[in-house]
Amino acid sequence: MTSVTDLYQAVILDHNRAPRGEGVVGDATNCAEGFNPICGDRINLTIKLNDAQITNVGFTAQSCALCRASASVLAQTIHATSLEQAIEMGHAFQAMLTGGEWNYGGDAAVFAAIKRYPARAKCVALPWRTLVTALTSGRVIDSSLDRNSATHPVVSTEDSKRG
Amino acid sequence: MTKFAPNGNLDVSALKAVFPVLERPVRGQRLVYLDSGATALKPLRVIEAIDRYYRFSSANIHRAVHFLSEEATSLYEAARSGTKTFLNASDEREIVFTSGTTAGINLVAKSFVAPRLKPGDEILITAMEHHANIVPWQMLRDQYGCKLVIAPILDDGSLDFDAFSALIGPKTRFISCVWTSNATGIVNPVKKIVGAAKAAGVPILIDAAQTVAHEPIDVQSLGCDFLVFSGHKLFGPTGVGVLYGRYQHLEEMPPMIGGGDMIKSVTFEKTVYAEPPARFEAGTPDIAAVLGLAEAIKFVTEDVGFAAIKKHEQKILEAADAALKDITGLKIVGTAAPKAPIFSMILSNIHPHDVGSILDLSGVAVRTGHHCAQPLMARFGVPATARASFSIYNDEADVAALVKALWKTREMFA
Repeated sequence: MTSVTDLYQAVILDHNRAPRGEGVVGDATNCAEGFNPICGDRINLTIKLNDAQITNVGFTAQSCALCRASASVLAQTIHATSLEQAIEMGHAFQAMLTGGEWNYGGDAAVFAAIKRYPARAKCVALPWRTLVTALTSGRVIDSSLDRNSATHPVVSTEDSKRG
Repeated sequence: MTKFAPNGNLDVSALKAVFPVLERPVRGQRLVYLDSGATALKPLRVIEAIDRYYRFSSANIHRAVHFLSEEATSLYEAARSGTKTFLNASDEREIVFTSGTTAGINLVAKSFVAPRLKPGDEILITAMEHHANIVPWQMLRDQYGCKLVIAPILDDGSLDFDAFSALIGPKTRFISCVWTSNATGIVNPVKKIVGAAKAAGVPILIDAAQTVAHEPIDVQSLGCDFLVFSGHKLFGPTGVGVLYGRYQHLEEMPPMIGGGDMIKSVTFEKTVYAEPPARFEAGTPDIAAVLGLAEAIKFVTEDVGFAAIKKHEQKILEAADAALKDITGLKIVGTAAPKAPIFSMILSNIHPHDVGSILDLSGVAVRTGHHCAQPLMARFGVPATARASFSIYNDEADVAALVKALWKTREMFA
């Protein structure tokens, strides 16, 4: 495996080319927006929870390939899991980027290679950080309110390189 | 004829050999360093000067009568004299050592411009400035209620000179303008710009950070009031820069930082400040870096020479321009001439960070991001670009390596 295919593995390129779960869940119960001001990556997650089970996940991303592929893997991985397990996965995925274990199966483990390229870890982590915010910050969308006025928590990575 | 241009042409392989970083393989491959716009590599001559100071002449300056202190002081002041000659300033006292371009602009903003401001006054900059030449002026605007006026650029990235001239009016109190854009490489018609400022009687600062390694600077012929640059873009160390200011201006300016070495006398009742440039060099400066900068100036002027640099860089510019134009889907942001050898690139719909990573994995180091010029990126409707910037140690093989890595990037995302 060359270093290029180590970072941009075929699975990652495939998720980037044909992302799973791209779009907006119209009847979402939880949502959050993630933004990385350094590179301009922006992701919007909409999730439908039904009785503490994730029944639908959608994302839109204006981002690099790694961030988009990570969001696609996320949508695929957390679909039909419980709220509790999805939050656990959100944390475990971020831990994996610095060497932690990933024990939840699916395609997510391909991103373990990112630990060798720390400059790109933020791109890959963004969807998962946004997921944790969407599911834990209590920003549950009240369907009786106008959707446009719902408060979307924003995840921002303000702490890296300056410019 | 110089050491590295014995027949008027740069001997690039001899030059590569005196930049030790180039010996280091990166990601298992030969390093193709195309990020000199961010910081230039350091030649042995500079590294050795810094080492020599710490090894043999380590002492503070302007303080003691002992041998080492006198030696350090005389080396430090010789660096000032060398810088004066380098810029063709008329007086050594017009050379202030700063920590870099940013510090120089901030000093002029706070000590020269701020005391002159009245509400409603205008400061004129351009749409192609680095954040270092935007934010200090915004800070003045917010504190003093003046207006920040932005001269537009054209679609080819060049300054709209007519619009710029038309924006100079009775309320214009100061103009601050970049010479060479760090994001696009476009070189402004700086003589004309200074001429327009002079004609209106408005003092002007020129940000020469991205110019200083590419062409000779003559502040007297240019006629600017202030000029700033950083040592590290000139093959010198980080943490040191130069503010050139006309002496009559420097004399009027209060210090921005108070402390040791910038005073004539101190009592608890009153302090009398030293004359420029000492007034603006409070505290122990980065002496080693100043000596390194002096050596970098000698390296560029004595060992290499601007005539050979310009000739070489023009050749690289043309070769890279032609090769990059052949890459399907590659767009260069900022196409106007004249240009420094800098290419800000967009490759189809591939995010610049993906381009940067794949180039890096091929051993090619470029800058990705907004280049500290977000308003300029916004003007071109892109969040970021991948920027390749060439220098004296780059050759056609480096151009070929860049082109090959860009094609590889395209194939991966096809």
